[in-house]
Amino acid sequence: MRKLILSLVFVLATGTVMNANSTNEELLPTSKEAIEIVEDFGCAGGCVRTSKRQALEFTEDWSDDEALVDNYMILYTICIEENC
Amino acid sequence: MLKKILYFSIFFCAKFMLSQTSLSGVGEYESKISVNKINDYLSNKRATLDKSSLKQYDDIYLSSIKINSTLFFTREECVFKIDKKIKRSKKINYRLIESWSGGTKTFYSNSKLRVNKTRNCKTLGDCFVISSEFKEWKLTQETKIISGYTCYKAIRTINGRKANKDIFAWYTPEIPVNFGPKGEAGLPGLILELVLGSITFRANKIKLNPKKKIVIQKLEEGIKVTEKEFKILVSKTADKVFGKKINYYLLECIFLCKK
Repeated sequence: MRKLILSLVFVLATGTVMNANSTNEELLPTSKEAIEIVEDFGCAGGCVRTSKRQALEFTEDWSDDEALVDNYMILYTICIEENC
Repeated sequence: MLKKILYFSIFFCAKFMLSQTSLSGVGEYESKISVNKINDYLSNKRATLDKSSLKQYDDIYLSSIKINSTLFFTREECVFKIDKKIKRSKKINYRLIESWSGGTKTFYSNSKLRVNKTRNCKTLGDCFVISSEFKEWKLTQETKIISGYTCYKAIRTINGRKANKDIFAWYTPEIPVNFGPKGEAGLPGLILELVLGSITFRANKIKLNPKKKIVIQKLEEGIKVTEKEFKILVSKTADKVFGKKINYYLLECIFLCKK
């Protein structure tokens, strides 16, 4: 019985010491600096946005996909020619 | 003597029939923004535009740009395309009106087979030959004179997703071929005026049976598809570019509801 109590005390003491040691360790920051990449397509990106908006404006019926795509291609080509 | 008369009558009959079947011609057309579109723009759309958009819209809808095109026809076949003689302008209004008038596309029709073929090398990058059947027209008794020919009005309705769109054609039975500009065919006479969305085509010169024989080239080079197949391909491309267009429909609805 005595042996059992002593062994329990030993285990408890060892555990406390180990735990105390681990808490003394210097905490390392877990977060890393985020690298933010902003994709910049320059004037081409601007032309895509503008041409899409204008194509929708100038196409009478959006269900006419052929006219919509044709108008978009014309407006995009002109925008690229003028700005890029 | 009787034999001679018989030979002569056979000869004249044959000549008459041959002249009837060998009808050919060249139609020169001019296309520009239609009057209805200009009126609609001035009375509705223009007032809603901000200053930055106004100039661009005015340049397109109030422009006096005219695009010339030619229809070569025989009794059975025709081919239509816009003239490339004039140096192309870089301006948006010119390019859009040119595209709405047919652009780089070539239109072929065959009245015997009641088939239209359009060669389109622009929309999807590759060259496609798109075949479709003649469409049904509603004939009316309304008439007017164009270039000295009595023309009758015909209407065709296209079912759009937003609204139905009417196409108006003025055809003359005095030139008995079933053709017209931009692949519009199937009427009992040559179309001399065509109101197709924002654009109006009008014939300004018709030359019948010219000395130089007209040879209609069939559109063969290109990926052969039906109108339905081509619409699916274009729809996929449009979805890639514009996303699901339903979002734009909703946006427009919200925009209009606010007003």
